[in-house]
Amino acid sequence: MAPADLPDRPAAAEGAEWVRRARAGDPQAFAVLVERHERMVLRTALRLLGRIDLAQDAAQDAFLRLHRHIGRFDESRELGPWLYRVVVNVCRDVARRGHGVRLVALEDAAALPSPDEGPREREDAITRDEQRRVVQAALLTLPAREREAIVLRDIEGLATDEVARILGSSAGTVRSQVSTARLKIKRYVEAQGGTRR
Amino acid sequence: MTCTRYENDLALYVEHDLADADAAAVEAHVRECPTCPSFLAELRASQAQLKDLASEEMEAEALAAVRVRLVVAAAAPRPRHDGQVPTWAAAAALVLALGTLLWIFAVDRWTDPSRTVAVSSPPRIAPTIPSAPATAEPSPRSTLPRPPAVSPHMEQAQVRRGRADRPSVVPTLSPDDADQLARAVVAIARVRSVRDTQPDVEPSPEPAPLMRLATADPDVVIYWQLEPNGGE
Repeated sequence: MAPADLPDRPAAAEGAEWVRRARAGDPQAFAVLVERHERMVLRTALRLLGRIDLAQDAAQDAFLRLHRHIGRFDESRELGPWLYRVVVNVCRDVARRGHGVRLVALEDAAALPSPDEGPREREDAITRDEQRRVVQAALLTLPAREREAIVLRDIEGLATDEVARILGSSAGTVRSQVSTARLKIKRYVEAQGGTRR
Repeated sequence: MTCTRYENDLALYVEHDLADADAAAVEAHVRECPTCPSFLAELRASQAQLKDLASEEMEAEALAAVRVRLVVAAAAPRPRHDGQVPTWAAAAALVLALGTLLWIFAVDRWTDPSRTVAVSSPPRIAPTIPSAPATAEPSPRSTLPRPPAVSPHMEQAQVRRGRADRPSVVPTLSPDDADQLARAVVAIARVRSVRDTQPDVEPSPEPAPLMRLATADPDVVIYWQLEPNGGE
């Protein structure tokens, strides 16, 4: 199969073969790994950090770590969860360095002035892009651990157990974080003018 | 107004995160409660909005910038501390990778108000690496792919540089790492080139985007003017 035809989320067996070849020093295999995971890596970093320039820094660091450690990577494991863990850790480092990941207080969002229109008109006025911006802003209001949990669970669509393994946490903790985060996002979105039905 | 004690369960129920027995209890409550159905509907709506983020496409320029950053990070100059002479591999990696990426994006100029370096085919990137040979010589054990031909449109380039008396530099990664990573990027470029030869691509009427590339050196920022039509 041509690398360009590969899906964004590789099947485990195919992924293992590319990993095996990359471990053996095949540069084209490493290129395929980058090609197949770059969207996932950049998208996750963008959701965690909220800024494309910081997300690009994080993606770069994540792939450099992959390149550095691919020789020691256990090819019987899936690369995806490992990369998610790397992205989360890199994003924590970026946030720790204080690169201006802007957090918005929930109270501030609730205090924003409401448009004059009624709920239906407000809903109609909100475009899809605006809605994405609102939800992204809502993510940035969350504590880091809640944000990580809900990004992996609800946006990346990973199972709760898998999210727990990636975050080094328990399934119960992830469920609690995700539940709280969903309620906060609901409140934030409604404070910003409602949701699209 | 809603049943506060059910909020967390509803937030799990909405994404099927409850065990069957718990989910059945929530459903039974929702059937009886006057307020929870609307709360649940609102939760479903905000969740749909949240999950819609997954369908947002990452822009090609943003992905390309990550690949370029990988190359720059692999072979980027760093202040020299140990007195070692940069090896051929770092220079070759940078020349190959940047040459390839120039080819991919059909870059026709790098902007720099302070310094201009003429670029002919093949491109000379050597000025960015002190002590590097003007033309990278292949190692006997190297199987590096040859850099692609440079578009005749790429006749001039401007490279922004910092102070002329900047200290000598060494690559961040080992030569082997830089070598391997650069070859990987070349491979990506080939994948892209196959895609980009699709015949029915309409030239974009939009203005050419400007890509800003940060490097490991805070004094060096590269601006690329991209031409969606390949510079033709």
